[in-house]
Amino acid sequence: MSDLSPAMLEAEFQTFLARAGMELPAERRDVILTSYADFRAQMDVMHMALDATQEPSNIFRMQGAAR
Amino acid sequence: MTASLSIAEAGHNLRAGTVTSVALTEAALARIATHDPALNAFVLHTSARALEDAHRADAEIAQGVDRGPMHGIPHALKDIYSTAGIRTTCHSKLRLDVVPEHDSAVAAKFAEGGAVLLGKLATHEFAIGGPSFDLPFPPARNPWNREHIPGGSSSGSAAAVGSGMVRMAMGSDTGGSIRGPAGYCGLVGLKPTYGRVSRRGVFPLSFTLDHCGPLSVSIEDSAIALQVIAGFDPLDAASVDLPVPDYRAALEAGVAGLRIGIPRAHFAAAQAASPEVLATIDRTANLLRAAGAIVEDIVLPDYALFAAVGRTIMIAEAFSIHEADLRHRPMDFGAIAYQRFIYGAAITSADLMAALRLRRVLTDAVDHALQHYDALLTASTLVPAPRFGAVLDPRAVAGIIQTIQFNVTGHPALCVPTDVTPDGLPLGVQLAGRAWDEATLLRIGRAIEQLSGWESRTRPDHVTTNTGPARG
Repeated sequence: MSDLSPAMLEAEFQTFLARAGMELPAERRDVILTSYADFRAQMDVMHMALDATQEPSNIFRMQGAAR
Repeated sequence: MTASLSIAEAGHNLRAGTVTSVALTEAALARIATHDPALNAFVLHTSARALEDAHRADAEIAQGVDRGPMHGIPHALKDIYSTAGIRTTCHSKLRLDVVPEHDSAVAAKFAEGGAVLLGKLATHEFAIGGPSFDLPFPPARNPWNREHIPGGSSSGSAAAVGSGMVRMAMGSDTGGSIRGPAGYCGLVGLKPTYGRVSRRGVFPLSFTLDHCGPLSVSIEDSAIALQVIAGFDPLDAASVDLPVPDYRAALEAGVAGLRIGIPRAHFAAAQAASPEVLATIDRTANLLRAAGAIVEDIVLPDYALFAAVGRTIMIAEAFSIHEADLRHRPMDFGAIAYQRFIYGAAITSADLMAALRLRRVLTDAVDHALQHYDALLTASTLVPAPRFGAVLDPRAVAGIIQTIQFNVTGHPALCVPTDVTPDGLPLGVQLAGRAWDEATLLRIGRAIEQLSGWESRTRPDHVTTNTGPARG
């Protein structure tokens, strides 16, 4: 994903924003779009191969849960 | 003189009748009046309430009532802690008129313990957006040199304690917001184990990363504060019902025989790490060795993984909190908070699940290391406090502190001051320990305080005034 061109990254982010019903204020647009590539690159760091049995941290135990 | 007393000394003198809470409070208020206009530590002074609290404490102590170690002692709270009847803004235009009906759990514990509330402290907006000049209140400044940032988000807490306005103030820490400011301002900063201190009534940044803890002048001050605020709260979903030990009992036990691991690759490989920070970690390791500790390098997963997991979870959770305002009132956020939050719109289910699954892997890795070591020694801030002009672009601050790893894993972590650069800015190191074992961290921190010479160091007694424009 991080090999997307700046234009494609902008289009991707604008799509996400539209999906959320949001629009970037004009005066904040440039810096946010410029930094979006860094943000996506950081997300990509996590997409490594995880074994299917490696469970997320929010797995919970019912023992002790409020009822 | 009263302003320089430790919490323990002040408590002893109160009970001996050689000082009064009113005298302590008046000294603190005088220092605030002198220094706060230059440091912007407070967004609200509660002077009248403070004097009422102090008179009440003096009357109670005179009658033999003892509410505990903070009875009659001044303190202050970051302005994300709800305080009944007292404005709580999160340093944001979005909450300028919010006056909570109830105290946060921490505020209530200090009130029940007879502590004196001096006021509410500056923060980065919603504990994330700063330092910034586009908010309703100016940013707090570093008492060692006000051209430099105090760090954040507990910026006012660090400025207030670092300038001697108060011995201890409460901060919050979601990615380093206690430990970073402590490092930049030469303070002790303690992030307790996740679940040790109730988060109830503290405005959330990120539910599963938020921690409440003190910034203080000394290790003992933090131990006392933790003693007051630690404990089970059935109304906080993260709170755990475990016994609270006496955090001062082993402070002087030394470090002989303790095993301390250094995840050296984390900071040694960091592009931003300054020579002074690397040197103070090595010096601290050597001091601990000389005092009898076994100190060895260890390997943990790459820091970049901790940082990515922490950011993903933080922004996803924060976005869910602020979604409506981001949609309908975007310009009421300061530019930095808005920029940090808005990326939450682009976090996918695959991103979030990768973060949550890696969080378990990373937590297990730190737990595994702590089966062999009593504590970890690492960096907190990678550079001395930068100038304001160097960090006003939020991209500039990425990678200059390494603290979020223990928010991701929930382990307790402690920043301890160690030294001062030739330019007169403080340096420190970070310790992390086993879950619920804050006592061992405080014990090692106390040893570092003594071994490094920090304890006897002359601290700045005034705010530097040779400042130019803060911007640029």
